[in-house]
Amino acid sequence: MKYQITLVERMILESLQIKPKNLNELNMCTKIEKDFIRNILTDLVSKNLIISRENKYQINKHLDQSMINELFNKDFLNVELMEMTQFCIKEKLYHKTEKAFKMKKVHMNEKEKKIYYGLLYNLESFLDSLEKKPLTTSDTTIHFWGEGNYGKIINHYINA
Amino acid sequence: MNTQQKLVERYKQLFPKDTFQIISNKTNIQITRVFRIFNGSEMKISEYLKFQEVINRKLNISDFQTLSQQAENELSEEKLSFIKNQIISALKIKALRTTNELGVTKVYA
Repeated sequence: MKYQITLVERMILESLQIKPKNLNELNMCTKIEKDFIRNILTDLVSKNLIISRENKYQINKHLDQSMINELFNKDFLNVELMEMTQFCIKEKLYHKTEKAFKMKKVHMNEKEKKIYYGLLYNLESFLDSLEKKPLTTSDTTIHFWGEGNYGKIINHYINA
Repeated sequence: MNTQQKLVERYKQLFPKDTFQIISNKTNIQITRVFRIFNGSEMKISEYLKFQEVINRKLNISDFQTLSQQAENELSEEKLSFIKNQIISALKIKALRTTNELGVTKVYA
């Protein structure tokens, strides 16, 4: 069976990507309980995704190509992204957290599309300009946006 | 933990407030026998199945099994793969939250 990485494992890997850490430092950075991190570390070490050096864990920079491919397996990424967005959707639907998820169905003419993509470009430029390596991974906020043609979405929904 | 212990633990998890009397009523197993089972006495197969039935009813497992069977027969490979990957992901998180089968050798704290 292929190695399906979960959201929480990816968070640990992202945290170690900033710099090597021990268990306590990972706990501080991710806010995940230590027992859980301990199990994840054992799993990641056994998969050779991370290595221990000088009492700390760090990303294995010599991963073989097959493992890299598995980390970016599209089917598994699909589940990861869905789980991430699902939390935001639930926050919006069940807890009325307005900022958690927004969706609008609109029809735009060519002029309006140009304005929209201009605004989007500014938003993306702003987010890209931000510091990419936070000290505490758990404090990171997730932003997502995108668009899809209503007809294509429905067509895929009924034919997939 | 053996299979019987896992079943008893699962029962306690799903029905934390059940007294031995309630368990006896639900399973149709004598209360003294329920007491012994909860204190480690080995179950008969019929008793095991009764506990399993109560748990399945609570979790709507029969619905789930029927649906998964129907899905396997009728849905596309793409849909099935997506559902399967979701289940794998949920099970993996569950496994990581409890114990690691590989065992922890040494973790740097």
